[in-house]
Amino acid sequence: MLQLNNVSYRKSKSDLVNSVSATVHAGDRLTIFGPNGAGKSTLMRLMAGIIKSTSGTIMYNDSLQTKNAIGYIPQQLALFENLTVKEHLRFYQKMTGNNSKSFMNEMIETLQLKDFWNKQIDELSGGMKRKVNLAVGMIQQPKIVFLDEPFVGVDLAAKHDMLNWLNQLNSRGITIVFVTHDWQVIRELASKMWLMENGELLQKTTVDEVVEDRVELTGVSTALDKMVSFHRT
Amino acid sequence: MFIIWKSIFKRKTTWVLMVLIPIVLGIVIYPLVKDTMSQVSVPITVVDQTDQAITEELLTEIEDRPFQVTKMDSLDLRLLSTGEAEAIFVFNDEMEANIFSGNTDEIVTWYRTENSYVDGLFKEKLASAIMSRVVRAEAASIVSHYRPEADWDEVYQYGLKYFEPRPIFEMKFEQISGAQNTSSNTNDSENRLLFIIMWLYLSMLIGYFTKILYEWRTDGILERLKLLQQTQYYYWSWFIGVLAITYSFSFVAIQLIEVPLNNWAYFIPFGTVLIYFLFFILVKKKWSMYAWLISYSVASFIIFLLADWQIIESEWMYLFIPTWLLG
Repeated sequence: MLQLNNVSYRKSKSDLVNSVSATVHAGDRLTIFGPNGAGKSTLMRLMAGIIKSTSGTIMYNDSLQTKNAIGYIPQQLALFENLTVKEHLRFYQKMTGNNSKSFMNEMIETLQLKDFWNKQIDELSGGMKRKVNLAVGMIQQPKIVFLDEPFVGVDLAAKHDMLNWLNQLNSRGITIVFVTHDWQVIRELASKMWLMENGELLQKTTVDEVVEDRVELTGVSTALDKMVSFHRT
Repeated sequence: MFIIWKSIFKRKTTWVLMVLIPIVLGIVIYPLVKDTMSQVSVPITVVDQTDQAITEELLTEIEDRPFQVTKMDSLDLRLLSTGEAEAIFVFNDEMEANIFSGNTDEIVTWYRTENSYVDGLFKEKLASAIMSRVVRAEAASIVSHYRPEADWDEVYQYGLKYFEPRPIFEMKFEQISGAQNTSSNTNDSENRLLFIIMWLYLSMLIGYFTKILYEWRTDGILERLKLLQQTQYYYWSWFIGVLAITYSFSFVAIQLIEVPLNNWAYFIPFGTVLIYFLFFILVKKKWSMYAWLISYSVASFIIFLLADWQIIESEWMYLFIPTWLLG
């Protein structure tokens, strides 16, 4: 679906992403894992096409070359503080041209947005804002979606709603790539895992292998080793 | 993109900047303009108790800047002590009849104070207008006397043709075009000061809209729009919207200030919006942008004033956009 060949991204004389080669397959549930500053978010932004690589190539298959095929949910709340939930969803729905009422209704129902439909973003709780952020990023029904720390500040109930919906979408063939430090989310949502550090992709593994301690980490820092081992606690 | 502008106009700060501040500035600036205008006009009061037709005729002929003539039907000398009138001219009740009969004795009484300086010019103009009528009336009377069939009114109308007094001596007169008179020069200078204050306000307004653009960039809204739209349309929407607001404010302000404009002046709002937009593209951090733009605005203010006072006159001063007004 998406192939990275020696992709690097250099900024201010430092390699944020260094010569990454990997493939994302259709229907994958992939998490990119690593310490802060590992280059996870930059790699996702490269794959989403938001920034251009300084060297290497990213090949997209035909299904990703259509309009709105790629969804991106940034770490920040990319929302207009003074607009309502309704105004956001209608605006982005119009912009993307996806007029599927059933999808919109499903999204409102699953994420429980109905009660907040006419509320302004600045009137919502942090968790609700995250839900709206997710809904806006998914409104065009992308083939692949990149989520950067989508569950920060979200309570358990809201997290459950969001995970439930993302799993539903994945079961319909939507590829999910995300970054998080939350092991609960990793276990519930991811199947594949890329371990990153200092801009380099160190290992491509599966969540099961990590959980069952079947992965052999070589050449990783103590920080990453600790993070990977954290799931045991 | 309408909804993006809706989100901007839902902010209270937008209304404070676009409505409240202009009103406050208007309250401060408008009296300043009025005060400046009144400083260059001379208030004169004319009293005509019998409301003679010739009074209106005379005032129409001589009423011109810098005189601000008020017509009254009774004498009020307090106007002189309060400074509301530089001088008072009281027309005799029989002035019209006296002029037509050629009697010029005490047809006007002139009241002034020791503080009256420039009312003499009005007196000269008034005397000149009265004398031309007296001469015409005298010409009409003489012609009518020797040629009874001649119409008095017709001769009065063209009296000066019949009875043009020969000048004692002739002075060569050459008019120099392009010279500015001192009062209008002072006025223009005041207006240019108001203009630069208006520019600083516009600069602040555009800075506010640029701040919103920075917030959208920090929040990832611009990235989201870029990904979904695959165009830079939202940048154009911002640019054109801010440009429209800036030109609207400039238009209204220039109508109020009456600052003389050259061709380059019309590009000042465009140049200002453009420079903010370029700063947005080139300077990634909001506070760095503010530091640059506050420095630029303050420097522009100082350079503009120095250029206006002709202390500096150099090509480089046009790097500071407001100086385009002086170009």
